[in-house]
Amino acid sequence: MEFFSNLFNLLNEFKGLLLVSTWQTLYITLISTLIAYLLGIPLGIWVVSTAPNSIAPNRPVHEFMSRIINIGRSIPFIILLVALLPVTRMLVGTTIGPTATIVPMTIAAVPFVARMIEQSLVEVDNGLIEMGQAMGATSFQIIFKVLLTESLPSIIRGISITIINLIGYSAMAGAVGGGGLGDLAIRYGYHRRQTDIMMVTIVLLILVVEVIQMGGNAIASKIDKRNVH
Amino acid sequence: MALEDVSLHIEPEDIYGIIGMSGAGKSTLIRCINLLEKPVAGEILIDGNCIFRKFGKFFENNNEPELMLQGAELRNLRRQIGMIFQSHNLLMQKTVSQNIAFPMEIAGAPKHEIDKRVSELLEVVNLADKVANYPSQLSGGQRQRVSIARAMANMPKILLCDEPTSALDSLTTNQILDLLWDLNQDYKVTIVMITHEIELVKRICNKVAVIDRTRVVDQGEIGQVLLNPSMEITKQLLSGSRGTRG
Repeated sequence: MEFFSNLFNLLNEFKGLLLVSTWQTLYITLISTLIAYLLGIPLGIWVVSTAPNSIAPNRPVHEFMSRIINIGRSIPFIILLVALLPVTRMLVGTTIGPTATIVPMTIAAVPFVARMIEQSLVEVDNGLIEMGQAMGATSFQIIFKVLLTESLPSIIRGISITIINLIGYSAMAGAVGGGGLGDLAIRYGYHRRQTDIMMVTIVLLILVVEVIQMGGNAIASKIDKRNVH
Repeated sequence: MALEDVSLHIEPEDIYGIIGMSGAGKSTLIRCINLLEKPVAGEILIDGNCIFRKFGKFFENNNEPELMLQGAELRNLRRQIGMIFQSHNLLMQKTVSQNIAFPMEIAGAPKHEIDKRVSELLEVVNLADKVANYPSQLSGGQRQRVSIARAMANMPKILLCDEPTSALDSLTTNQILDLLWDLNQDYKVTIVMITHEIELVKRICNKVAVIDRTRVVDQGEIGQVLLNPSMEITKQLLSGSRGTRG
């Protein structure tokens, strides 16, 4: 009983802070995901369609894009975060707070998203691409009416993976004053040694991740017509 | 798979069988007709119009310019040639009617025309009750019938069939062959069919070409080729194609 009354008091005391931090985490993550997909989808399509035997084979372009994506993905986020501080300041005017965090998060997420899109698109059977070509479809039509529509459930699953990955990044950004639940955990849980706050933020993060994963799976299963009976 | 020294002449409204063992190059050959494969050298004419011409060392004396349909011209040609595949290649996330509408949609046909043609074709392939179903809800034979309806959507003059029944049981195979026969009779569509089974050729083809190891070894009217098989491979295919497949 004492545990619950303590927990209640704690939640009551930090209610505002917890709510704001959760909101900030969602804000940072969802906006970064959105922008990263706007940039990453065309990039992923580009990589897939220039691959050998695809709709617009172009080896040099394919290799070059693939390299760039790999380079982007190999830089640890915490380093990218610091390295991009001047860029962030230029774009947002500050390096502190949730909005500033969106810059490095988005830049880190674009190559990740491009790879996720690539993964989803290459799953589409080559026979379908050949079918599209045989029917006289343009490359553009094959991309939109064959590749993207057939891989939509897979792309949706990829989106939830990306969001969850970015929630992890947002916690790192919290370490340098980026706001969000990570920031709260570092400031109160670590610097002030308030383990209970740390625990509460962890539970909140687990809940957020769980909801996003389950939501993504539910939407993907709902729209996937490959196993309709 | 490379083919050499191939010369076929297919007349309008033929049901032309191309038969050979696995790996003989049949699929490569049929894909040359809609230029999914580009020949190294040779000439392809459809309805008297050249769609491909490139002369290598075999045609030294020819002075005609090289030609290779591309871009919009190539897509227009392909829209006039239907194709069905061994694996039906249906869009699994689209309904039966959306699948049949696909070739018309990409050709930019108006909505009411698409709807009209789709319901007509659904009747032809006897799937009117499956209009809103997804391919995953259909049997193998039904899927292949959808893909036949799709191939006919733009009312092509030529229908290419790449091993259309290889994945189906014999009863379903006969239904598909009867459907192809009906399409040939009713819509006057020229059919080119690749197969490794002589029974299929016997059932619906009026002409046949036999391919063996990269060459066409026998060709002509069905009766002529099958009654007087001049080549060993034709005899082998005749004496038991099912046996030789193992």
